[in-house]
Amino acid sequence: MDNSPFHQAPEEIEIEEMLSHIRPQPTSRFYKKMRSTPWERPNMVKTSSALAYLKSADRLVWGLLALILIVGVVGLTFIPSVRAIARQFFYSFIHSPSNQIQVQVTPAAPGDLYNFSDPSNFTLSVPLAQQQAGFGVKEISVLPEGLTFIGCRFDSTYNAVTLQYQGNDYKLFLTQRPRGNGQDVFSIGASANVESVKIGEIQGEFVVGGWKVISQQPDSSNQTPTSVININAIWDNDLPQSTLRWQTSDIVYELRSVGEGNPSLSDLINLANGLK
Amino acid sequence: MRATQPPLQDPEAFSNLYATTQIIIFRFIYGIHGGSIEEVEDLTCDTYLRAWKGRERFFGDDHEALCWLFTIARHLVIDAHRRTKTHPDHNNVLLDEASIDASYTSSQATPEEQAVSREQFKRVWQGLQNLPDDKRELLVLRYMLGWKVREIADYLQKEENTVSVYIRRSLEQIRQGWSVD
Repeated sequence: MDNSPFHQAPEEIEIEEMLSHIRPQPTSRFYKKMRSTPWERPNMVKTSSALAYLKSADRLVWGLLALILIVGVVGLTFIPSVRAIARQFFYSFIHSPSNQIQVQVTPAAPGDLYNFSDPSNFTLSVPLAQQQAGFGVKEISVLPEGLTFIGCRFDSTYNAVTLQYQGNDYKLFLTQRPRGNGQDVFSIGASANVESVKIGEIQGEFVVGGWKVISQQPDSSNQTPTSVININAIWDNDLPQSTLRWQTSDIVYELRSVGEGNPSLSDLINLANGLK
Repeated sequence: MRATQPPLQDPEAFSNLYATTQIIIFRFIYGIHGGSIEEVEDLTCDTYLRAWKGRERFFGDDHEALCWLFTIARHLVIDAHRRTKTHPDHNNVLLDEASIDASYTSSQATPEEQAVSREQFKRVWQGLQNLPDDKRELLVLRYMLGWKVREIADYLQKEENTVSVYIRRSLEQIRQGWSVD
């Protein structure tokens, strides 16, 4: 009798576990296709109406505004000092008006919200994530001792790829997404202290702390697959979490470490400089 | 008593329904169809387009809307199987490896362990696809969508005990199929 693992039927509990770990995600192809559905078109119609309105508006005023815009773009493109000032806006974290926020989320299945950092949510290899995202995904080229690559996750809503690494007493998340895909910023609390840093020639920002969940409705035991969960969170400067953020002309990067053994800012910058 | 206006008539309401249910419907179709990701994406899209066309005939709350989408999706999958005649011959059913969590194929496992895990996943998937349609749907709801037995019982309008028994029998059927292979 063949006792190899391929021929031994697993126990029921193992089958249950395997089935619950099949969590397919649509590719970017699907979301592109769904953008042109009839229920999304009203937004496009609104845009067309706005353009029609523009045609009937005072063309001189709009012409002047267009001229100012062109001058601004030229300034941003060719004048280094203007570009440097502009970066302060484009590369900024956004301070929330207070240290407390409320967000609503709809997890695909009960429990999805609670185990984001679980390795089971980072199932993709870099080539597979790249294939789904449709852009070149960078990774830490040389892993320092003690840091292990866990896997990738693709978020189709923002066309974002997140790579997870496990360090000694901390986790590291490297997120990258095309600029303009959803929010280009990472919201931080009013009291957060942002430090400007250089990653090679690129201006970046560094912040310590994070949002801490203080309450949620409904709790995990009462969730159904369509539950909308209201989360109340407060910003905590002492939370063991560091975030380094920068962007190139087309991609936004975030390198976030979470845990008591967080690497220092210079270590994070070295890792950012070593992405390939 | 019916509401005077169908709740999904407004594009914004329909858009909200799509936003909150699309991943659920996608996974549901993936589970009961057993085809490629591309086919599942097309069927998911068709499900919403068909719902959009019939939205004026729908009256109900969010949960009923989800069940209505399941019904549409199920019919589309049955039609697709009829067209391609791939069901119930499941010898070559597909399981997209990107759909498997890393807990079984994590980088910390040895290559041999990863190979065994992948093979087991494929056999479980094949077993799922070999089940009759109603049993397959039951396991998809329970495990791939994470529904509780009570929720499935409400949806199918059956007793909780009956649903539990069906689930056990379906799992056992997958196990039995294993030894026959």
